[in-house]
Amino acid sequence: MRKFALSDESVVVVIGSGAGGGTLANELAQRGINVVCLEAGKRLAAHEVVNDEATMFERFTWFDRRIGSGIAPKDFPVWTCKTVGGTTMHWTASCPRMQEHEFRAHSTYGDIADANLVDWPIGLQKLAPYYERAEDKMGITGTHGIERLPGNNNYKVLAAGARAVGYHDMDTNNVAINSKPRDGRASCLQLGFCTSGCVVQAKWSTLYTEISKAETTEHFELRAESMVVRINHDATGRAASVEYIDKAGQRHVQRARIVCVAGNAVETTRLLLNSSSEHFPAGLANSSDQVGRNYMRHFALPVIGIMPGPVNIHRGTHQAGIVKDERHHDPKRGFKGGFLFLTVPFTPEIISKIILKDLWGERLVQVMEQYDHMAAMLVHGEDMPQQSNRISLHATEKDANGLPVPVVHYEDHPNTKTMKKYAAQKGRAVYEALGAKEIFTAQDVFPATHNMGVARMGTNPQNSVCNSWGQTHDIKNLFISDGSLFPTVGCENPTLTIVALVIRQADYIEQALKKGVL
Amino acid sequence: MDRRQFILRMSRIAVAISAAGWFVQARAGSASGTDVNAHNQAALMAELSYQLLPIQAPQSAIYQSVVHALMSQLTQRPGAAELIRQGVEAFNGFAGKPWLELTAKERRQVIQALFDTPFVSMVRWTTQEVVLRDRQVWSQLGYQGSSIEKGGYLLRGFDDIDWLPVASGETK
Repeated sequence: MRKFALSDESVVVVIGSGAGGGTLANELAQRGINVVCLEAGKRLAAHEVVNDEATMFERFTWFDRRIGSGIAPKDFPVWTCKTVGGTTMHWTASCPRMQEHEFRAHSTYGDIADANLVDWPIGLQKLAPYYERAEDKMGITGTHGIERLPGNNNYKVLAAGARAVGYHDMDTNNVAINSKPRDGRASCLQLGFCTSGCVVQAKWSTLYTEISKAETTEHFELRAESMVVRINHDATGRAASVEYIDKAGQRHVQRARIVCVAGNAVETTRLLLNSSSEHFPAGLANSSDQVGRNYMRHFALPVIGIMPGPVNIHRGTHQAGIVKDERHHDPKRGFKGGFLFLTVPFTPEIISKIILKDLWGERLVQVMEQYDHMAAMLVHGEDMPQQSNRISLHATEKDANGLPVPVVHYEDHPNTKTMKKYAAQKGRAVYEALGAKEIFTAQDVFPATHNMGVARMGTNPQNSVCNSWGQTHDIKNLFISDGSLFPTVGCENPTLTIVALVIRQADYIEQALKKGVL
Repeated sequence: MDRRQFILRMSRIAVAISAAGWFVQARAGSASGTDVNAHNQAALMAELSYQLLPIQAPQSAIYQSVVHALMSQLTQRPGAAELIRQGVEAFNGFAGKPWLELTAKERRQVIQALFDTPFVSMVRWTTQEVVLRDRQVWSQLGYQGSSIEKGGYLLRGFDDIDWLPVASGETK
């Protein structure tokens, strides 16, 4: 396996190995471009991935301290992963494309008070070829002739209830999970709980797809357990090197020709802000003061129905089905944008501990004893960019690496509040239509898993951080390569769009290197 | 917060206020009663754990396991010892006599009144983690845990639902 010297200033340094970083690193390596990929977490061996939620939560979660503010959970505002593969280890592999109008949010929705709305600098038409390549790479069901997965019980309940209330746009979702063996990986065994990582590797995760493929080239080196703490620049303001701390606590400096940051929104923000200098006093790429701002997520509203017969939600694919009838923009509903219904399983522990957190005693037991009759869905919808929703650095608190602790501040926009109320009623109606005995919903109980928007793309350097290629306006050889790029977020799960964007970014970097402009 | 949760929360606050008035009066008459040793702490937490999630018999070893898990936090979590000490003191001081000596109904009223305190949250959270990760409890609830050992659910009922209405044009 290739090793690069710390002094090698010809390499592209990619920070992070998840959907953005892992994919970008492989795309570049396949093009013959030398890449050093720095990943904060450990590399799990295949046998260390087990089919148990609680065990895997402990094994790959990012536990370094983060402080939540506003309605973000105080001690655990986001659930991300610190492991090779990043959040593609715990993701549910749900891959709907964003809709055409969602790339033109400002043009479609108009001015909205307290929303920092813009259009994307690229539309669906320009991104479509990259969606195609991403879907092929990830083996997404329902695309490229790939058979969809069969629906599990939880999906059948969702679909039957949805039909009963008049919905019709539903299927077993586009998922990056093999319905047949493909690309050297097995097909889905309907194990349940995709969020614990996939034991049979039917689910696409960069750990055993992109990273493994990059390692077959002579152009890639992965350094796991390497926590990047700073990006340095030279006298001309170009990114010149990356400082990181290895597992022994030793500090190293890797020289770089190009630096690509894919740390997931919280770490991407922290790294840019923590790399401030005399030349860039507000942090790197932050002349617009937009780094860390416009932090968006998708509300994740669980609806649990106690159904007339057994469902056994724990059996089968996690987001096994989707209802899309409400995802369109229809202002008559009283809000802008739309939302999705997706199936979701929960363990008894999560239902009891988090969703039914106000229940206890005999009442709690009475509900929990109907676990096998529970159907469950997650509703998530479009969020609005707000300047005040922001990831920032705590003024005094430091973590074990001496880094300032990130503060994640989030409050719902009024549009989101209205949408949540409407969406909860619609979700309940789906289960009521099938005679649910009881229905439970909860709001703002989960840490965010879709973290987006803190280094957004745009054509105007005064209100955006990057151009449409993810290249920062301020530093030409510094790129952002994760969901931080999203100017707005639509209502769809973001990973497919992240992968499409970084494939496009890899094309751009390759061309720029060939032309000698980077 | 939806309407159901709102009503629950309101009724809880109402109970808490009325209970607090009753207990504050009672407590004023008690002298100290706050010097609680570790044994008493453990017994109180085991009963509290049971009351929060009475899914097995009160004497079940599972609630002792919860206490062990709580005690192990004493060395891992700064402030845990003080949190437990204060929590136990609040429970025992609330009615002017040890919480374990109250009737079952009174014990539950105290829990209701103190439900939103960090001590109850800690005992509740640990209870869920210990009790709801227990395989016997899983089978009691119908949760089957890891499935890879049996080849997943592909051939074992992932789509075996039989009570749904059949949509037109579909077959079961």
